[in-house]
Amino acid sequence: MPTLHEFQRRFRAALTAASGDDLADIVQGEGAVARLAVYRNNVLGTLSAALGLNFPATACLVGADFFAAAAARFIVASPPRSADLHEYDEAFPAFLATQPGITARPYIAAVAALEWAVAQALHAPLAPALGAARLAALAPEAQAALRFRAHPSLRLMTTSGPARAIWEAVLQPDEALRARNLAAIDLAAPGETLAVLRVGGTIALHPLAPAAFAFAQALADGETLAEALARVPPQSAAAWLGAFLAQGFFATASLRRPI
Amino acid sequence: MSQVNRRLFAASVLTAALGIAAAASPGFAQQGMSQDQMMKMKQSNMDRAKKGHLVACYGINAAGRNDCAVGAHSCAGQATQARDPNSFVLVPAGDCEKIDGGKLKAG
Amino acid sequence: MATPRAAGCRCEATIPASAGIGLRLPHHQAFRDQRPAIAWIEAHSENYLSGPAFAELLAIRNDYPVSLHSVGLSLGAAEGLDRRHLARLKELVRRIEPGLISEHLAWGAVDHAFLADLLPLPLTEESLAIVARHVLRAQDALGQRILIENPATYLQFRHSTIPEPEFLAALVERTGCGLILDINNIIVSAGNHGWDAEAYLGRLPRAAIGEFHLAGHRQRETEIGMLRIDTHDQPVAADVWALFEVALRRFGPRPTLIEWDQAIPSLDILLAEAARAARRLALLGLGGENADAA
Repeated sequence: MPTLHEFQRRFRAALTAASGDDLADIVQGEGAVARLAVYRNNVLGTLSAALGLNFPATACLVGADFFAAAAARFIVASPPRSADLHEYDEAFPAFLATQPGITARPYIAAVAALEWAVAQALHAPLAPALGAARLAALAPEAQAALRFRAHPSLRLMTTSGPARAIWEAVLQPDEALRARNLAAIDLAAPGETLAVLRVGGTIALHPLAPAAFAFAQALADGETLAEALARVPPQSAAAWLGAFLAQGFFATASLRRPI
Repeated sequence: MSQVNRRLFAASVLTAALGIAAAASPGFAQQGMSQDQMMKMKQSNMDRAKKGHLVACYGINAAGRNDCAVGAHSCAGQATQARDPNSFVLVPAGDCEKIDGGKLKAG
Repeated sequence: MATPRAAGCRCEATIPASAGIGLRLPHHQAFRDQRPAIAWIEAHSENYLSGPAFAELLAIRNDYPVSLHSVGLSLGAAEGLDRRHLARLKELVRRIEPGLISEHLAWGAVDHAFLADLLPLPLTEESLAIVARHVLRAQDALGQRILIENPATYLQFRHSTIPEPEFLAALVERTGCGLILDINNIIVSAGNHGWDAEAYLGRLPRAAIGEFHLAGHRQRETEIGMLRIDTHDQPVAADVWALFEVALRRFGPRPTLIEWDQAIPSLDILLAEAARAARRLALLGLGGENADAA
């Protein structure tokens, strides 16, 4: 008689029809195949749907059939690590990049990587953006020692190629505009350093100059303002910091070191 | 830059930045204004349709992805399940065709 | 319409023995705008861990008692509970103050892979020990008794030694947990395995029943005949209403949930289903305790 753990391992393997194991020797009565099929269909259906909800632009790019096939392979290779399916799955873009038909179209995997950041930004906790009054009232020594904490939805990432332009084009609800924008995509365009965040219930994408991106990263990593400024061209610092504050990159600022 | 000058420079940057931020979105000066409120000042009607579409695509308001029901996909025929996903290769055939004309790049 | 409350004032947590509906994402706005007249709501915990959804549940909680129904704890997983998931649920419970907390007799994870379904347990002494251990741990972490729901199953195992109602009764005895009696799941499982649904009811400990679930299901033709599939995408079926009436006579009134998860209908349709349950609660719920004393 199998232990529960052994049984559960076997059941998981049997969920893949390709395994050929229908558990007929341990299932009571007739019809193991049909009975197991309910579970197989449900697991595949639920996880496919979850992937489709986190990567809708990617699904539009490759079409429903291809997405379903890629998802089915991914689900077997890399099932969720968490019971919260909003988190499924960070590894999907890299997996997609290895699929036949995608290796020759790297921009598809790049869009999927951007989508992961977008989806996680959408699901991040709510938090008000940092307000000015408290900061202005601090003494200069304190201002220099401030450490900013990023808004929970902020993601700083590097894209390859025109991933942002493609993402925006694919998700454009107006059909004519979408077709026009897709046709205008220049696949040779360079990648960007980007801030992704959720503002007012929707997503804002801010392409940043590399030095501004490095500045934002340093601040989000918890460096003091004085430390972060060391890497910034002095003439740009105020404008960049002002833009970060106005766009809601930060939720809080404190004088304490992060744990 | 000396330590003192570093501190003074940082303070002056912050002061200038706060002014810039307040000019960019007037409500910023208020303590703890929600991002939602800040955004409302800029958002146009045209954005609203796009926002709704985006939110729907990512299932924010429309889909419970963690549920205890066996979905309608379990009522699907056996045929779908019997197909081995590794036994055939599909070519991407969606919006990517509008981008690269359906042609595979070399390499 | 429910009475609007003073700002910042939260209604009490206790779930009354009346009809409730599942809170679903498409209905959040309607709940905020219209304040439908329903006594309580149940939310799937895992759908409310993300920021925006949690914020909405928090706001709705001001006006409605909430029951938190989880699908992801995987109480039957031999490898143990997912610590992070338990911690996230604990935080959700702390913020929401639910009147009831529940999970399923099922497993869903193995080797740290979460399989996104309520998978069937072989019902053995080993399973009982494992599930009981996890129920105790969950109750300890969450700070209150939890209700365990009887599952809809599509297969049974030859090496099972304990029938499902006895398994649930033993679980209650070992852990002090309660039960959700999902009437639809009994009909589905009974149909799939040839059980006597009424007899199943009779073997459950009366005092442990904390809630009823009612839902719709489908029938599917297979090579072994009709399988019932727990789809939660239909009105409650006639045989489920009938078994519900039997349950009410036997157990008395309990909070009763209309569970409709797929092909979600309008709020009005859900409220109408709840009204059907409420009528039966009113007519048949009384006298359950008297029958007990007789």
